[in-house]
Amino acid sequence: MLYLENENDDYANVLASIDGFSDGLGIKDLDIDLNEVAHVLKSMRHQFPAQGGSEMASPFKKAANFLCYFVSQQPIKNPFPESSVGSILVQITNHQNSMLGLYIAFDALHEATIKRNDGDITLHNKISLSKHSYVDTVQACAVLTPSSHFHLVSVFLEQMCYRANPEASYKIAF
Amino acid sequence: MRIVESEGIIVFEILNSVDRPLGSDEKLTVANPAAKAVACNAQGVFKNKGIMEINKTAIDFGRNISKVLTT
Repeated sequence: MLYLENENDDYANVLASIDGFSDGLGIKDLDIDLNEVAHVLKSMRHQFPAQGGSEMASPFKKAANFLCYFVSQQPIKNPFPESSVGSILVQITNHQNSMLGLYIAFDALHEATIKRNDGDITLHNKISLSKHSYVDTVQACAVLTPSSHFHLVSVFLEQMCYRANPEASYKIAF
Repeated sequence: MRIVESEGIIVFEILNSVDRPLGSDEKLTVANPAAKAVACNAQGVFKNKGIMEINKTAIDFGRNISKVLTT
């Protein structure tokens, strides 16, 4: 879904996600800066802050890098209305990019495959959150930047995936 | 934005985006709805989902989350 062989396929998939998500929220008009979307997808691939680059990274690191760039570049220009996201999230600056970035990262991680020495593991279960945790997560992610938050977000996504897919976790050591 | 699929070809009709003046609509055509992952030796890859599946999943999620957040 992301980091595909052809960068244009990433672009199409992200636009399809933005279109569907906003449609589901009941939003008719959404201002999308297409240049920023393209910039996000280039940056996440070519400025990958982990050894081996994106080609050798886990899906958690890939999703984290996408999320950090998406939120910091802010390709969605207008906030979502209160009628779609409620009275709490509407007050959070940049909630629209945080919500969409999180959605795309979560959807990408669903059915992602982790390649390990002991075999491949697929994340069959989606990340799921309570309303309370979701609101807190959107707020926390609304200020992400790649340089400051990539590693923390990567661990955060990894742990949420492990909660939904306990068999995918490495053996608990302590 | 509207997404139209016909015989495996996906067309995004992008309307009045912020970096273009009103009325200058654009179409983006994509021929490969479920594209290949970038590297077979990667430590992890995302599932290759078709564009229409991605779009439908996003619609469903958006509906659900809006219902949860506004009640």
